[in-house]
Order: sequence, then structure tokens, then C-alpha cells
Amino acid sequence: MMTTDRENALEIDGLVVEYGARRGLIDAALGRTARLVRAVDGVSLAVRRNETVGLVGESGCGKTTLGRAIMRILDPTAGSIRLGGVDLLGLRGGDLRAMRRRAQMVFQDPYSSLNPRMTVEQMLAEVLRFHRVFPDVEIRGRVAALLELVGLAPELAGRRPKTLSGGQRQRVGLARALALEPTFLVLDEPVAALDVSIQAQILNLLVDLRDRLGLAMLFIAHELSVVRHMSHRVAVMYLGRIVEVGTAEDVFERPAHPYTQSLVRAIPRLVPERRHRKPVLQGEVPSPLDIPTGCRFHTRCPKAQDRCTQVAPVEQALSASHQVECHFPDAS
Amino acid sequence: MTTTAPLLNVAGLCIEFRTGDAVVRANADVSFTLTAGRTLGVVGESGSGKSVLCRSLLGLIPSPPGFVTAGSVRFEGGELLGLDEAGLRRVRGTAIAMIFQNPMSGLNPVWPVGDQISEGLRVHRGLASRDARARAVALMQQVGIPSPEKRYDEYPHQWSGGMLQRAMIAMAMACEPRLLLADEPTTALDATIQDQILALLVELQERTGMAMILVSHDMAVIAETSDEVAVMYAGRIVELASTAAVFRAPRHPYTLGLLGSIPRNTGDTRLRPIPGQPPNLVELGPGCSFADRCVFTSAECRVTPAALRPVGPAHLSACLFPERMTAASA
Repeated sequence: MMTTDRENALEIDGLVVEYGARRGLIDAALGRTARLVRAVDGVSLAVRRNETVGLVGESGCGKTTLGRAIMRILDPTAGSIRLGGVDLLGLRGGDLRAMRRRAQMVFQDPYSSLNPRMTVEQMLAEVLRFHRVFPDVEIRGRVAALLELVGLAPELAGRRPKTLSGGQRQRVGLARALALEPTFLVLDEPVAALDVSIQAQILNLLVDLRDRLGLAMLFIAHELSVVRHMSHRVAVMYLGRIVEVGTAEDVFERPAHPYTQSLVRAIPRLVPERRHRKPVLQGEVPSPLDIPTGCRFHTRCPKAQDRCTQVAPVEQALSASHQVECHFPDAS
Repeated sequence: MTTTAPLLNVAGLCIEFRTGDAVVRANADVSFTLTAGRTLGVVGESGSGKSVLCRSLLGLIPSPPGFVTAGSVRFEGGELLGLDEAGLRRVRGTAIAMIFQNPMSGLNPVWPVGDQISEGLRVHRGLASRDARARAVALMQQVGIPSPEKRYDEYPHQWSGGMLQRAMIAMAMACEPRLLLADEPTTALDATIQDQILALLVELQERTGMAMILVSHDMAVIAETSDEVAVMYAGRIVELASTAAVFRAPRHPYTLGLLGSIPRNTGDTRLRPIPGQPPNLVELGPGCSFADRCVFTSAECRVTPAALRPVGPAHLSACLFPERMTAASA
């Protein structure tokens, strides 16, 4: 999608991630081969410095898998991930740990991603100690600075996650991710578990932090209005592939892929008028175990033709910023 | 709000949960009416009491710890509160049906989906098995379940979330209820599936003329589906009016705050969130529960009880000083 560019914080090229390689005894006895699910199937994407790229798609499209592969929580089968020019997939041991200082992740459920037995201060101090970035005497001060950065009162330092609200927990999750001063953040549904008024507080905080710290971010979410609000560019995933990518305006105002068009049309509007539109998209996402031939969207596509069932579309550029993977895109 | 006799009339409903020494006031003085064929949207954040309200209408609040301490719920003229189990059974499913956020929790995992849809028809309508099956298949067809004959005998785990919600809707519609309670029916679903389910609910309502109470945390879902909106905060309805009035000219600062919290993509990167956190329902003071987070608050707000009262034609607000909002926006 984009060639090597010094301005890129993250570059993903031809990434493939597969699951389910395990084959049981019975399978082996019957001579069955393992069934692989290609959750991410040849994804290329770049995130520039100071840029937020939104990643949207429905359950099972591979967006979380992609985020986790970038963090090396999952190991890709093929492709490359470069962070600030360094290939992450070749890193081991200490080098990998050093890389993790530069890229961090914030998870959807702040409760299950925090240790219930540790206080906020202990959790943040642990990260700092483990990576040995600050001498021990400075850790207390650094923890206090982190709490202030994410808008948590100093007296919360001694609290455990159970006694914090959802919004406070997500602020702790953010403080932990920022503890090592990363340049790149993967945010996986960071506000999906929060109430609307708290969600708005966290989104404002993220915008502030991004501008203040110059962070590059991959913002994964299913809620399209939130993604549009947060992102400079947006990538749309369907069954493991990015089917459209462009500026937020390209994707939301001039969607070219029929899938993006139906996603955008499905967003409930904040206008108090009873809905009359018919749902654009019929049916559901096919199983990733059984990806359709040709264009993987053809089984649900209102514009599908013979060619779509046989030939996989290749990416084409509609403009310098806007790319789509479809045989018959809308060029408006 | 119209001259037609209301289908449902809830008046002064108070519900408490008692655990140990603590008393949580889950619903406080909740009153509204609903006419046949109309939809009331109930919007509010976690813990605002919207699900408790829905469940209490069908006697689904476990007691203890839950107690209805005051109020009345009249449906087609008859009182629902205090009905015995046999009386509730006659209402549930036949007159009032309910669908939930998580369809899996409403279905028995070891029983074929189709049989669960036809159960109501056998129990409430006394249909013979074969007739109930035929009717269930027709219902499955109506709610958009493909090849219903074949899928009748499948189990819940073989179905997707969207299909299970369709099954729940078929089950709810089986005995042609006059009122459907939908508690966050699309919250667990993807955008395009949510779109399909909302279209289905609107279509079924237009065809059958049933009334609907649609509970959601999503203001946009409420905007598109409801005739009237009740905004709930800390157990109270704080604003009640037509959908157009609530969205175009809100008269409670909490509603205004909710609308300011939603990204609108006007190019402004700042949202206007409500400061602070929802109050602890165990420690509510005598005054307005929203006073601590309200930008228009004054000392009186913390001590004066704020009851829902008319602030305009067919527009109720529990704000003591709604004129402060209009003054600020003028």
C-alpha cells in the first residue's frame, strides 16, 4: 500500500496470521490435516508519525488479531511488520523487550487486563522496574507523573482495580501503556465497555495525549462514529483483508467498496426521525473457515457479478489517499 | 399524551434493592403512559434503572433483594403489581413479551431452537404439536430466518448472535403480544446486523400495531425508533417528551450532556463530556442526583427534591431550573 517512508511509524506488509494449527490424535489417525483459519490474510498498512489510523470491521474480521500480531502477542505466518524501520518479526529476547517499550497496547476490558491483587501504584511501578528505564529512586515520582498525565487523582494510587470505576480503570490501562514512553499505541476497543459520558472523557484524553506526546495510534473499534471522530485515516477489514483504506473523509463520505457503503449506511443517525430505510446488507459474514472464492464479499454483495465469484480483486487507487479492493468500486 | 386510552400506565413506581444494611433505590417515582402502536425509548447509562423498570413490568425482579415499595402498573386497565405467579403467567408472553440483550441467555442450550419458539404456542394457546410447529416455522420465516424447516431442529450453539436474536423475536411474537419490551436488543450485535434487527422490529410493529418499550444506551438507536423518549438517571426519569423535542430542544442538563458526549463529526475534535461519575445509588442526597455533575448547578439543587414536572407542552423535566439551560444557549 505504501512503500518505505521515513515518516512511517509502523509499516505492515503482506501480513498473514493463522489459527488452529493444532491437530488432535484422532485427526492424525484418520489422516486429516489441520484446518487453518486465516484471520489476517495478506494485510498491508502504514501508520505515520502523529497519525491515528482507525481499523473497523465486524466481529471476526481479524482486526483484533492484527493488533495483537503487531504487539507480537501472536506470531504471524508470513509478511513483515516494521516499527520505525526495525523488522519486529526477527526480534527475540532482549531486543523484543526493548521494542515493547516503543509499542504498547490498551485493551477493551480494563478490568480483566489489570491485576486485581495489585494497587495502581504497584502496577505502574512494576512496568517501570521490569524494563529498567528509571532508577528505583525515581519510580515513585514517575508513577505520580503518569497518574497526572491520565487525569487520575494522586490518592487513587493505593487503590486496587475492584474499587475503581470503569473510566478510572481505563485511565490506569492507559497510564500503564504510556509508562515506557512508547511512540506507537495499539488501542483495541478502548471505549467499548464504557458509558457514553465516560467514553467522551476518555476520547478527549486520547486526543490530548496524542497531540501532546506525538503518538502514532492504531485505533481498533466497531463503533463507526467513534472511529471517524478519532482517526485521520481509516482501514475497513472484511474476513481478514483490508478492502478499503483512505482518509476518514474518503471512507465515510465517499465509500467506494460496497461493504464500506453498507457499513456506513447502517450507522444509526442522531436525527429524531423514524427509520424507513431497509437494511442494505442481507445475510451474515461467512465462516472464516470457509472463505468464499473470488472476492470474499461476493456472497453478500448487492453488486456481485460472475467475475466476483471467481477472481479475487486486486487493490486499485482511486486517489493518492484512497484505495479499494473491488472489481466494481463506486468512483464518485 | 393523546386522548386515546393508554395501553400501559405506570405511576409512581418505586423499586428498592436491599442487601445487608444498604438500600439501593433502583427506580424512584417512575411514571409514564404508553399508547398502542407507539414506541417509548428509554435511554440512560449503566445503573440508571432502565432494565429494572422493564423487568418489573413482568414481575421479573427477584424478591428479596428487590422490592416494589410504591406505585402502580396498569396494563389494559388491570393492575400488574401484586399479581400472583398464575396471573403473571397469563400476562407474560401473551400480552407482554420481552427480548433481552444476550439472546443466548434466553434460550435453553440443550433444546432445539424451533421447539422453544413453539413452546409458547403449545402452553399459552393450547396448540397441538404439529400445528405449533407449523406456526413456529411461519414465524421464523417472518423474522427472516432462512430455511426455517431445516433450522427448526438445530440447537442454539449452531446459530449466530444475529440469528438467535431473530429467534428470540419470533418467540416473543408467537402469541401476538400488545406490548414488546426490548432491553438493549442490538447491543451485542455488529452494525449491519443491528441495522437488520432494528428494521425488523419497526416492520413488525407497523404490521401488528403492538406498543414497544425499547431500552438502549445508544441515543442514535433511540432517535431512529422511538416516538417518545424517557431519559433515566440514577433511577429517575429526568426528562420525558417526544423524540423530536428531546433531541432538538432538551430541557434537562443530563440529556444535554449525553448529546454533547456523542461524536458528531462536525470537524471538532473536542467532545463535551459530562464531568465526574454517576452517583453511588446507596448514598443519594435529598436533592437532584445530577447536581454534582451539572454545569448549571446551584446550592438549592443539592437540597431540593427534583420531581418530573411539565416545562412545556407535553414536555416533562426533573430539572429545578430548566430556564438556566435556555438562558445559556441563547
